[in-house]
Amino acid sequence: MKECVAMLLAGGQGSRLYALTQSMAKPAVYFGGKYRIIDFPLSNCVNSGIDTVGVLTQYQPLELNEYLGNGQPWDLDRLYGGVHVLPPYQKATGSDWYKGTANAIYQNIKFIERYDPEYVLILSGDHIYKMDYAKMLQQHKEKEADITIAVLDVPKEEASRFGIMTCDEEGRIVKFAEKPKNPDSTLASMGIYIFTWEKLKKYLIEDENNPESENDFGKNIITSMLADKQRLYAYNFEGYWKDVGTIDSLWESNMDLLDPNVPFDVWDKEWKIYSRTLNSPPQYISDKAVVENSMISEGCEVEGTIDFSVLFQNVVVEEGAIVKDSIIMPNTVIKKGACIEYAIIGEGCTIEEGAHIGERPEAVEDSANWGIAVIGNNLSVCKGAKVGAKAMIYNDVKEEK
Amino acid sequence: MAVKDKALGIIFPNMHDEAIPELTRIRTMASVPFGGRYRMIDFTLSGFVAAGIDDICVVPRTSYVSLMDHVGSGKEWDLARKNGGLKIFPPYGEAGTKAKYGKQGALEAIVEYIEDAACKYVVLADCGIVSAIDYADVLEKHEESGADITVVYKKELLDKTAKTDNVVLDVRNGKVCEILINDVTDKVRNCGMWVYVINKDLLVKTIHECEAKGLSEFERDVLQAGVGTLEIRGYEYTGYSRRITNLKSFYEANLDLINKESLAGLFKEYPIYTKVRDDAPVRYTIGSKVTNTVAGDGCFIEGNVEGSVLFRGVKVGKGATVKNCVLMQDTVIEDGAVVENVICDKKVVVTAGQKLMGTSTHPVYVEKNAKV
Repeated sequence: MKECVAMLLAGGQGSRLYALTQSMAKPAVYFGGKYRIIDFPLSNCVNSGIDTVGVLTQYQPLELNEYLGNGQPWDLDRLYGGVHVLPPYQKATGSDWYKGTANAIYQNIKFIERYDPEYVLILSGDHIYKMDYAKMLQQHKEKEADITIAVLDVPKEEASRFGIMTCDEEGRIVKFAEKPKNPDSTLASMGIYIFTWEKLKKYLIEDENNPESENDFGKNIITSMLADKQRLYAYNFEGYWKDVGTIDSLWESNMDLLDPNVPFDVWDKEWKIYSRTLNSPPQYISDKAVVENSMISEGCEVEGTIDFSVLFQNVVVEEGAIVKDSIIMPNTVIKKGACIEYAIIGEGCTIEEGAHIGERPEAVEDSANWGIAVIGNNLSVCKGAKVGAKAMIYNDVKEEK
Repeated sequence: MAVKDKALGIIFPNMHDEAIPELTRIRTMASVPFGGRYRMIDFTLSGFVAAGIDDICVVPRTSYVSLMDHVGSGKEWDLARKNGGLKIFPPYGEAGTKAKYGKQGALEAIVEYIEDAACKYVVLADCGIVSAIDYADVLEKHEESGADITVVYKKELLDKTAKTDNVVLDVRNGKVCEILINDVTDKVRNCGMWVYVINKDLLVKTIHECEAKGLSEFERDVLQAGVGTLEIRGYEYTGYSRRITNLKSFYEANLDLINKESLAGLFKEYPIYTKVRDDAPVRYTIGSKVTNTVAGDGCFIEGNVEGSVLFRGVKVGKGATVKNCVLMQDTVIEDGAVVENVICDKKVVVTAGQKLMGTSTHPVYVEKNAKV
């Protein structure tokens, strides 16, 4: 048996990432120069000593399935346990898409029971953070809790965006409110739960039998457990945590890696973030290149100017090209004299000579019209083209005829 | 016939250890770090894999801890296989006997494995040269020509100060007519690249014969002796390569990668695999200045770097200057330190404010784990 099995909800479409999630689920989206979002919860599991992870996929699973493979990059290719991709499947009595987060787990009760765990850790594939789940589990055991919910103290003005927990002095949760207008606490749920399996199973079955339920962890399971006076505890997490569900937050979170004042360190050798890497030669910075305050990955060839930017693997920035305050995903080529500012360029793009993508905030008169410009994956932007601030590009940008 | 049924690869990691004793004191030539994120053996292994040779024997003699650590099960090269795959044979020097140096000793140790292999050909390779040899093409040409042995060579000017053995060939219409060993002149000549394709049955026969006669040098006792009696063909390699013959050529070969043509020559032919370290991308901070440099992942650069090769996990502190250096894994150049024309082995620390200078012809070498 396994003491604790992790279930990672990775079915999210990430619709607010628009062009970046056209062909992949949100957890597969690139982050931080060489990672994908899912690398963070997966690496956290491995670093916390959890070696059995079910990854629940639904939307655009191909990229994610291929990426996870046999789990070897995360050391999750195990004889007993390891990483398993769990899509919805046809059953003898019918088949269902995952109706909600709780239903997704319900449909995989058999998978969990194979490992006969005492505890189940529920994670989502939407967040960037480093967390030792072993410490959370320790607290769960000490409190003899039925469920422990990781919470983060958020600024009061942001509290109404989250699921808010109100706790007593012991840390026991007495109230849960989903996106309250007038929050009476600032402890926000991080979407990370440890359940005592026996309890979770009972509530999942009950929830499934309730036709009124939306089969959602926050709305249904936690609310019912609270109503039944089960033992719900908050686990206070201190550190960096960011939901990267929008273009702005994805951009900001990448930029946070370049900010020495943000306490988030992917260079920490004691808590490595693992990823499936391409095999690329070392990066090459030419004698004409100017590189400052950036993160650049292997296989890149830089001959232009890079400032406050994140370059993923095998990006080519030709002479005279400028990349500022931007994120360039793998295998993209920025040709001579092109200029990229406040933009996210998807993987495998070609930005032709002299093209200009994105604008600085001060260059846009009405700040409501300013935003990060985004070029979707595998697109080309023609010579001299201009793509303004806040643009969302789904198709090749061609010369006007 | 699939290539794997066709050819067995054998790699000799300790050949040419004498070229750079500084670096091979604690490791084999095969595990000498090269090019920002690789070890010498990566080029040979990746070349074999690219050619579909996936039954590979690695036969070390000594100092093979770092080699074992590096190649592990071979999975990074896709060589953790049920059939074939990578096999490291323990050292073949037996207790009480004087270990035989050279390839013959290694081959004697694994002769049974070679005999049992289903292959028709064997590719023998050392790790003293970085190259992007197309081994599939070499095999194809060998098969077409019907040769007994094919020797891969390149037109090169050999370094007179080289500490390694050299094989110079006289090739006429593809046929090797004469083989000279350690005949260094100041002319460009056909220099063997220590890569041979040999028919398996012939190899097995020569191993037994050399063993019976007490002969120990493959190049001298098989190749040179075979000219005239065996059909020995030359295969000219014209792509990118660098021969490591001493510390200076090691230094120059590394720095030669700081140029697009060299990088393309070495890395565009086929992917070069190496051990994955899971480092973060390189971080360049505000105030850093980096030009003309090649770097592996995991570096953290706050100072000035120019004309250098930085291996994975190197740190360059604020106000530090690194010029024309080769800094191996996890070396730390602390704040304000200055290093110029220096080779730092793994995990060297140059403490704050220190100055360390070599010259372009005589780079300074700092040993592994040293604190300067």
